[in-house]
Amino acid sequence: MASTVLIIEDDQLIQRMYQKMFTFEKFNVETASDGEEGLEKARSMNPKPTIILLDVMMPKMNGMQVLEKLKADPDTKAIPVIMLTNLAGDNDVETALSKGAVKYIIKSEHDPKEVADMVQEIITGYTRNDIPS
Amino acid sequence: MMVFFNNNLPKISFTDLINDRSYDISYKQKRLKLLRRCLVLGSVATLIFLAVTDINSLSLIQVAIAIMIISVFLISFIISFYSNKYDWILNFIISSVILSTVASYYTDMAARSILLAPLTILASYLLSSRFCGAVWTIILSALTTVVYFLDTFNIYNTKLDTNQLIYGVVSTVMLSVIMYLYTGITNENKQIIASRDKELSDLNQKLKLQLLSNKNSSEELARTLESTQENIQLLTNTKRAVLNILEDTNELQHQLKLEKEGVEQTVQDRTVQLSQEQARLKASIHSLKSGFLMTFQDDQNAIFNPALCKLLGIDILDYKKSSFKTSVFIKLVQEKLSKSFNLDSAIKISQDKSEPFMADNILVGDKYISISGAPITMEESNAAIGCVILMTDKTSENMLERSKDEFISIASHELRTPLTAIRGNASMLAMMYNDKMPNDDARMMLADIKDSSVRLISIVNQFLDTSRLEQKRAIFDNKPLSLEKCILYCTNELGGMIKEKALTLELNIPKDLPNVMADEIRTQEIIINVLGNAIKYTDKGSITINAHKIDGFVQVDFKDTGKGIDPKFSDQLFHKFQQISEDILTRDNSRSTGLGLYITMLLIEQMGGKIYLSESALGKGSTFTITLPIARK
Repeated sequence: MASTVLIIEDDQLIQRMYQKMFTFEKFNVETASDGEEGLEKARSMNPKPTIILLDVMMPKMNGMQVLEKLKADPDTKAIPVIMLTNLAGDNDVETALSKGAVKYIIKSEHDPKEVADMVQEIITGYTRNDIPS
Repeated sequence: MMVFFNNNLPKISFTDLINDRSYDISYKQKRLKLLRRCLVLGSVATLIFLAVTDINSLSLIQVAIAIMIISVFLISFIISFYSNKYDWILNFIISSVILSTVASYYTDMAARSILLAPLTILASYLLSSRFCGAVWTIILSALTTVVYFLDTFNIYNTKLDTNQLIYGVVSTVMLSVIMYLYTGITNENKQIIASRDKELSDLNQKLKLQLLSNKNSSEELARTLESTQENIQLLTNTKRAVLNILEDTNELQHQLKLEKEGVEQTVQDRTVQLSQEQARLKASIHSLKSGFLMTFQDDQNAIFNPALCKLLGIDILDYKKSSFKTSVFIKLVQEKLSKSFNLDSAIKISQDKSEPFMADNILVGDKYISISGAPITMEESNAAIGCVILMTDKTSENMLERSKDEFISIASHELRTPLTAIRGNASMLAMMYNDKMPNDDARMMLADIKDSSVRLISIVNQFLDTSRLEQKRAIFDNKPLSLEKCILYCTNELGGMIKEKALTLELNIPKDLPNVMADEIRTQEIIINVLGNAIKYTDKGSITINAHKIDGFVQVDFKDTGKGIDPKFSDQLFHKFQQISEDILTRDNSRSTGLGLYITMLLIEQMGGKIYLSESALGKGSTFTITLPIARK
């Protein structure tokens, strides 16, 4: 069964780019344009997304806040979250990882294909039981 | 007349008799008186004789003798007025004359009487002794009489003339009596003289003793005088000294007075100065924008400024007139600080240890303040007498810092976002639509778009890194790090480039190379930059990496056989945007921003290390050296 990736990204160019990439890589892709929408989708999706790609700088609710809420919610706690952002501060990385993100990817440092490969690697790394159905 | 018949006179010694002594005047006068009397008496006796005797019956010699006797008596009488010495001569004369007188009554006795002269001399010596004198006179008279009788009988064989005999005996007796009395007087006088002599002698002795004593006393007095004179001299000197001292004391007093006046003036001036300093200090403290607090260990009134009250929200109506004991004011301040900071404890610890303290980002209400304090210590004893505390509102500064942080974050984010889209889409186009490209040119253009976006992203990253490093906002996670592992990782990462250029890579890293204290990611960045440069600027040959320990650091040398660097450009190496060229506009073809080495330098220096070009020669290659501190165990 194809994995579902939820891309929470406010920049439409970037959102469209990754949507195309993951679609090309045979993922089911869901998108959200702000933190609130992303959180709502994550909670309401059934089945839950296999993985979430979360931008940090977003309107309404920033990615760190969304991360906190995702990890605080038993329904979404188990979903692996990758921070996909251009914020490259050391504090940012440390904060995100401490809040439960599994990876922190600087978008500008990687081609979309590389990002897709990393996502696949992470998904593969999880056991079947860890991934919510 | 008593003197003639005084029998109670002491005996006189023979020595005394023969000694010529100075008699006292009264005695001399008495003797002379007596002598004169005897002389007169003798003269009278002779004259009586002559008177009673038929001169015709006398011989010429007898008359001559009588006249001689009278003459001698007169002469003696006269001499006695002029000489008081040699009484014995007079005595001799007297006795010889008297005896001659006596002897002359017996015919031809005159010649014989002269023979008796030596005896007479002897008798004169003995005349000082009454007894002896009398005895000798009697003896001589008796002898004369005997001699006469013998002579008469022998020569003339005639009867003794009874008158002459009686006269002779009477004369003898009279002579004896006179002699006796004379000697008695003489003896008496001599005894008196003797006693007087003795007295005088005693007196003399006493005088001598007295003299001696006096002499001693004199000597003592002289000594005492000398001593007194010395004392006087000493006293004089002492007096002089005391006067000098008094003079000096007066002088000193005067000086002291001047000094006192000077000191008073100085104190006055200093008081004015201190007042002015105090006023200036007060004004300075009150003008400070930061909150100022000075506390005292002896609980004197604390010194504070309006800025402190405003910062902490302490309402004091007239702070200039208000005064609070240290302990009271600290309580006031602590109420405002609440649990954010224990000021009292910080002050106590600071004073005890004589160490300053500092605390940042203390939240007071809606403000962030920083608190710093230092003990006030006495220079001599190093004892703390109080504490000076400064409180600064850091809210704006924090906001500014946040702004800067945010700027860097936001700037980087905003710059990177479009670049991400460019890079990503170019990459995807190449990947997804490669077979749909019209020709190679199109593919090449797409590739150029992607490369450019990647380069631009790199440039943006470098700029942002430089900015962060220059502001020292980069965070380093320094931990013990194995440089060997780091170098191996980096050589692996750049292995492709090395292989592409067919360069030889040689590693000389000892197994016991100690760990360094450094951030792993930054260290990798440094090594990749330096090694990357070595590879970039070496077209053929080798790259050697040598590592060793030196003076608390690990040193790594990156030696290449590349182009080398002209020594005149070696100073420019670590400058911002500078490439090896005559000027900033002249760039090489490496398409680098010129920030690589600059960022490397900032990174390594902020980890306590160094980077420098240790050697280089054009056409022969270069050696770049980095050092990092060894991690302490």
